Amino acid sequence: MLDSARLFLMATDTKRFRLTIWKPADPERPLLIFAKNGDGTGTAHDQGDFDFHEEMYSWEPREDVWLSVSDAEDQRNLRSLLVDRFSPERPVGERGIDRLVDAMNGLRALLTDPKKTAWADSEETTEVGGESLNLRCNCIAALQNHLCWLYEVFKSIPGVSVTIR
Amino acid sequence: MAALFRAAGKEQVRLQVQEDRCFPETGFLDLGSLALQPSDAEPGQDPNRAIAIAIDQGFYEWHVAAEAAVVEATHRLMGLNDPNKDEDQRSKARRALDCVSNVACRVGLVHPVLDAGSLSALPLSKPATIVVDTSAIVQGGLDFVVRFLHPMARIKVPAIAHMELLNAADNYFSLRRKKNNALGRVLHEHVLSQGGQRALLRSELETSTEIERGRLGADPLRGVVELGPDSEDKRLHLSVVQRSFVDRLIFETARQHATQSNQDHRVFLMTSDQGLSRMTIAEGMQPLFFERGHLSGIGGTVLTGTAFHPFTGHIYSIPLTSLIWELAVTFGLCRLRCEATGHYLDVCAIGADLPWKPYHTRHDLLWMRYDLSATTQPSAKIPPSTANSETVTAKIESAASKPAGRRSPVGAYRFSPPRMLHLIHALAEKERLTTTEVLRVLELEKHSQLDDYRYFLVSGGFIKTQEKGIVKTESLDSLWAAMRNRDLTSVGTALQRVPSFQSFIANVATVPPGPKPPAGGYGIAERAISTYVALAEAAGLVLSIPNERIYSTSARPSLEEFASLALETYSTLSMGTDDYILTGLWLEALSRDHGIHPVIARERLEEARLAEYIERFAEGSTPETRFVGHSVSVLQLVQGRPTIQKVSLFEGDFLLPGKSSVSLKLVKGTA
Repeated sequence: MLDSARLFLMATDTKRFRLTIWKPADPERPLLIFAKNGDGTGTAHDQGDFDFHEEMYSWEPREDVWLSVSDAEDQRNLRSLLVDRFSPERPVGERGIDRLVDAMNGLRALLTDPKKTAWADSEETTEVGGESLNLRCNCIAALQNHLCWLYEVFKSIPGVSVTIR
Repeated sequence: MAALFRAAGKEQVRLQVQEDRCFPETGFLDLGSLALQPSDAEPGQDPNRAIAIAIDQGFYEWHVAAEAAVVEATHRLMGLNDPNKDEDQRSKARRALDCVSNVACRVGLVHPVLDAGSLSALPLSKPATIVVDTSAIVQGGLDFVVRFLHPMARIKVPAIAHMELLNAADNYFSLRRKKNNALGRVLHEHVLSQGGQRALLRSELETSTEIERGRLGADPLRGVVELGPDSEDKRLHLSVVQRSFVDRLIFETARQHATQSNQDHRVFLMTSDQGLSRMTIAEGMQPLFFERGHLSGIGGTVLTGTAFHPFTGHIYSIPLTSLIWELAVTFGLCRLRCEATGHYLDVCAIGADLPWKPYHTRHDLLWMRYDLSATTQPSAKIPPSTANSETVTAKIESAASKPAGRRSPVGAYRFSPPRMLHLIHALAEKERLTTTEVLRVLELEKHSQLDDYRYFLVSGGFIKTQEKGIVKTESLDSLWAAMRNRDLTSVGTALQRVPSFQSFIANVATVPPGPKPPAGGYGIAERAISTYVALAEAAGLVLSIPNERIYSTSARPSLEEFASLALETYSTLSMGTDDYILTGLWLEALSRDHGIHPVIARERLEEARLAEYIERFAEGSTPETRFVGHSVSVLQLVQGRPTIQKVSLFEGDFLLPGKSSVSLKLVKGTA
């Protein structure tokens, strides 16, 4: 039941970009949800009162993915397309994995114009000839390819949803 | 490669491939364009360096051509123009093109589309074993596991998978030799077999992949490929590889491993074959299924050489050379070409005029050919024999095959041999040196100037690099001891641990008699030739004669044989008289005609004189100026320390130190 227990845990740290893919939870045994009150007492709820989702995949890039977007307006639009659309506060039905297609199209549109994104030095380094070198990356292109892969992997699972924080 | 990209500037560099049986000689299949993204060069920095770093570290975009364009171009190149008549071959060619997606997956530009449930269990939290089938090897599943799941995942490659690929390779070469007209099939067999073998070779040479073989005793593999005397074998008709039987043997490998492991050690069978996957489930084992890659999956997309790790989110890099290498092996030839400048660079894996030599057993090697001289678009592919510009055929070592994000110290290097001996001496004395100490020993200022020294020593296993310097190995001590003893045989053997040096020596020995070979004929980059000549001369392995060529001088004749050859050479040069001849002419003739190095000739001559095989007379005079530059690099001891010095062969004191023996006369001795 350890996996089921993880259903209750929503990470509270606010990283720059954290993508999680969920599927409807199907615990082998019924759950009892015991909501604690402030005075130490609690209220028992039936499992059917809740819509549980189980984490399938979680991913957090170590880089600021917005770094490669040249224009602030584009950055805002993209953030809206990804973070706002897939906010955990939204109902599950509004952040299904099929909605990821819009985000990928938005990223693709940005990438078709070479002026809108650029390669930049990342924070990650490697050693070349005894010297430290910052790896360069077009994070938007890398993110687009990663989302495409995830979409292909998870698109056929019923009820799969996405959160991005 | 850096020079090609530098000359191209903002112009597009096209990524193309060729299959020499299926495409016409001048026909290349365009797979899209490459855009390099180097950082800005710092003031005073070599501009090629930033480009070279971008190539090595994956700072590039591959704008993959659209699927329809690639398919249409392939059909046109193969002459499969009739959709009805050529339906079968067009279909095979179309399937073969999916290998472009497999190549992208093998190098790490994209990932295999795994089963969602399996991916959710990754990365592995406990050690497990993943057994791969042939489809996983060819389509990039094996590389995904090696790159992202190893070492938590142990990897098993069943021997039958090797054999299936070997059979595919055999089919391909059989079709190739028969000049089969089923071009779609030829292309399919080529990309399948060569791509798969490359993936296996890379996993063997560069990763800690274990190779799992079939169960001993039952020896099922023998029955698969050869009809045995067993009556059961005969009934099963196992003289050809049975596909389902191959699947079964792969599954048996997985199950055998599971029975030998602890109960909590999980074993997965990775495949894109639905049948095998279903059999695995039915047999109670977990498959790691992924979808077969299609060209449509990457056609029209932009793939980048730096990407996000699928589990940790870190950035990893795929060197551009890895991509080119993989495409070259898969199709036979990969070309980078700038339309605007007409420059091109070919990396070839197969061809009628490309030999497979013994040193291929140690490294996965390809050939490279480039033309950076054109200023306009070339009209056609330039074959090596007719190229009028600088066309080089050179073996390049596995720089491309290194794991993503790591730099592999291989290639041909240019440095000062005397300074290199200073460095070797310092290491022999001190064991390890910091980068600053190395700079001081070599009297250099910039870190970048160290690269060729360091990579030469690393590629020969003489040193290991550490975070802030280098540390010697036992091989370096052996090399230094051989140099101090002036044991040329041991010095030569030790230096040939460096693959490019070994390649150079092998090529010098095999260059056909005649005039100087074309650029690249010695198997290494032109820039490194002078360095390698000096080292090889000092080791007694070659002699370079100005205005002629480099001669192999590895012959070590017995005293009696030498005496005979020495007198014969003298007689030829003196035209049968007993006149004095120039010492240098005699030494060069021995090298040219009999492969005897001047240092060896000097030693043998003295031994032959003492043994009374030869009587030697020398005469001093003013050296002839026309032979200025005819010299040899020799290993000498100066104050007990080995050093490499250039010694003129015509100034007289080479043969008899301290004496002027410009001219020489030899007479048969009494022995």
